Order: sequence, then structure tokens, then C-alpha cells
Amino acid sequence: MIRAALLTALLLSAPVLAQSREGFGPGPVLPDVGPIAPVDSDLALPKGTRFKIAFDVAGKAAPGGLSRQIETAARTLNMHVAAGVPQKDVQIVVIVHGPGAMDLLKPEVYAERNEGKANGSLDAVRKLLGAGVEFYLCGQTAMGQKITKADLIPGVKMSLSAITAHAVYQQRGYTLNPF
Amino acid sequence: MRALLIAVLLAAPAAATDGPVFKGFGTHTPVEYNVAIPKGMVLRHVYDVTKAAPGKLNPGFETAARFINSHVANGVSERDVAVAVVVHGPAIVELTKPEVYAARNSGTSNASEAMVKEMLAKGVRFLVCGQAANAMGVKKADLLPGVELSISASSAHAILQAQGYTLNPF
Repeated sequence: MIRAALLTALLLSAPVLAQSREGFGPGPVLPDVGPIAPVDSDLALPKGTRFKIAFDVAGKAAPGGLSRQIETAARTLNMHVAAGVPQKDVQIVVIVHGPGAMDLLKPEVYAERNEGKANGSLDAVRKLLGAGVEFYLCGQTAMGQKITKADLIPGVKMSLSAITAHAVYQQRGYTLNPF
Repeated sequence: MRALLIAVLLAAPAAATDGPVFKGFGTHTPVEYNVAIPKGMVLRHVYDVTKAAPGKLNPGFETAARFINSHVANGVSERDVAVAVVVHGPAIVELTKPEVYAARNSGTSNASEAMVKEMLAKGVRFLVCGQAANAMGVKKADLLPGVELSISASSAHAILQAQGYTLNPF
């Protein structure tokens, strides 16, 4: 009985599971992050279409929660691979500045800054890094928030500034996602 | 008295100009501009719209019409101004058929419908985020004819930018 109640509580408090939103299911690259909906799309993806997308993330998740924008990056990867684009042709960089820096912190650093709470984006960031998605933290933000490289989830990189990272990636042919 | 007149003149916005492509919306003001538009330049521009505007013209859509009106009024050929509007979030309902809109909005009508239809007829592209549509329970058949459905808003933006559309930053 206690176990059942505990399990229910766990399920209710768990970050939204891929299957839980009606019409959305797990994606092929990261099955438990960024659920996707099938779409009868009018916008053709000609064979050979390659995506290079930069996301700009300034907002942070509620303490302990999953960053909505980091989840959007995962969904973008999932849904384009589901639509037939090879995974190597969906290149994503997530450029983080401002309050969003919080969600890139290592567990112990995050907990210190959030009353002991766990970083709800940690799993998503690790899995995205593992799938080849790049993360850059704005160095100016880091300085302002007293964040050092050693405070970041391993694999997260630092750029001189978010502006620098956006400029460099757009020069490399990345398109900018506006939200 | 004269001071009052001057104050009124200073405070009044410059007169809005209607047309030449769309009348009654997307008005613009004449500008003594310094940024030249080279002859033959093709402008491909994409807007991102999420907010709905119940009971009035959706300002995000209208801005796209203003872009066309103001450039054509200033000598750019209409065929050289291509505009796309990527829509996700609540604004999607303002691209649905009248009966769908009414069913979702207590029987009211969509104040942006006539504007959207005119814009579609003039070649403006409206691209709906398939992920958001799905989450909102909006199906392809619910959309006004001519509105396009994309895998996602991110997908549409990536494709349009790769095709040379510039992203409007606000």
C-alpha cells in the first residue's frame, strides 16, 4: 500500500514522460527526452537536407525542473531523425546565457544554489551531449554568476560570450531558432 | 492656442498610409529613409508568431502585411518581397476554419480570418508548427486552405533560413 502510494507519487512528480502527453511518443534518438508528435507535413525535406540549428537559451527551469528550451532541442533532434533525416545531418548547438546557466551546472553545484534540489535538466543535457549536441555557456554570464568551467556538466563548453557563439555558428551556416 | 496646436501636432503619430498591396491592415508611415534598397534586391523575410489576439487583427500577422505594404510602397516590386509567418502556440487557432475557430472560442468569429485569407492570396506563407498543433488537437483539415503544416516551428525556421529567408528578430 505504502509502496503503491510511493510509486504513484514518484510517477506524478517525475518529469513528463515521453508517452504521457496525448498524441506524443518517444523519439528515435533520445526516447525519454523530447517526445514527438507525427505530422503530415506540407514542408518538404528534400533528400540531402542538412540541419544546422542554433538555439538561444536564456530562461531557466523552475528549481528541480527540466528546461523547456533544452527539451525543445531534444525534440528537434528526435523529430527530424524520425522524419528520415540521418542523425549526422541534424547538428544542434545550444547557446546559453543569463539565468539559463543554472541548468548546466553539475549536480553538487546546482544543489548548493537551489536548496539541495537536483538539476532536473541534468539527464537531458548529458544525453544530448552524448548524441553530439553542443552546449556553450556565455563566458560573460559565467563571470557574472561566479560560475567556473569546473562547475559545468562535463562536456559543456564556454565561449567568450553568447554573442560570440551565435556569430561564429551563424558564419558556419547555422540557422537561428527564434524561441 | 497656437502652442496647443503645436503640442497636438507633435504628439500625433504620422498619418498611416494604406496599401498598396493590402488595404485596411498593415498600414505604414512614410519615411525619409537612409537605408537604400538596391534595385533588384529580393527580400525574403520570416516572422515568428505565438500570441493569439482574440477579437482583433493578430498584430504578428499584420506586421508581415506591413512589411509588404511598406516595401512595395517604396518601389520594391511585389514579386520581390516574399514573406513567411511561422506560427506556434495559441495563435494557431487564428489560422483555423471558421467552424473550428467558433467551436474553440464560444461561437465567436476569428477577427484575423479575412486578413489571413488576403495575405495567403497574395502569396504570404503561413507555416504551422506540427508539434504545437498536435498538442492543441488541431488537425490539418482544421486549417484554412493554403496554410501549411510543418514538422515543427524549429524545422520551418531552419528550412526557411537555409533557403535565404532572414529572421525577423522581434
